[in-house]
Amino acid sequence: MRTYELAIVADPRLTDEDFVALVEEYKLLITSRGGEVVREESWGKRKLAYPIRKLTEGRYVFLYLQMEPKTSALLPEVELRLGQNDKVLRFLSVRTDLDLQRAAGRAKPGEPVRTIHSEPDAPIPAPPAAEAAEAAEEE
Amino acid sequence: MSPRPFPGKARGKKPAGKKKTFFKRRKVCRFTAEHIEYIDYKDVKLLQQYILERAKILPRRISGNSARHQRMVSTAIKRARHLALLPFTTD
Repeated sequence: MRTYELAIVADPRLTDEDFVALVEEYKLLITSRGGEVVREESWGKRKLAYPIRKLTEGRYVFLYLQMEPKTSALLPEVELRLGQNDKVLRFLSVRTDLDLQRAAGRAKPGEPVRTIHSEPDAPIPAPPAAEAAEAAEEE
Repeated sequence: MSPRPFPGKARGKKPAGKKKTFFKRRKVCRFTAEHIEYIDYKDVKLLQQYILERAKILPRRISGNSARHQRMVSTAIKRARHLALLPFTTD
């Protein structure tokens, strides 16, 4: 069984209904061909780090998929359709099962696989970024 | 491919006291220390700490990340950039 993540950044001018319909369209395409949408994570509207098609915001949604290797042949089609859809600003599909497996294999026995994202409330210790930035500026 | 001459954590302190001694603070890979095995491109808050002012990726020689973790950070940053979660550059 393979797992994938599919991220979609849609036009912020869509109404809530249109946005749901758009996501639903892709979910349906996936499920009708034997894929499974395990989880859906919506971030709502979010400011873009840089303008895309003169827009400064995007609607973010992440779909977590699961499917058999055979079924995954439908992904190119999903991507093709996302690319043709002008309500979609950006999309990204990533296969995650291998990375997660590897992570699980490396994790200490008995401990859960640690990714920072899985514990968003955990305090993040200050990295050397601040002083590092200064060092880099000097170069 | 020849095997790596110093596998694992062999790197680190140089023999002290020889010739010039200049102080060099030891850098540690935060992800190794915390046993983090997967870095998510959606974790914007984390990734932001690994980009410089001009939105460049913080080099390993400064962050002290292990090669493996640096690779994870950089792929994650690149993915996040594609989705406009992080900037390619600042103007």
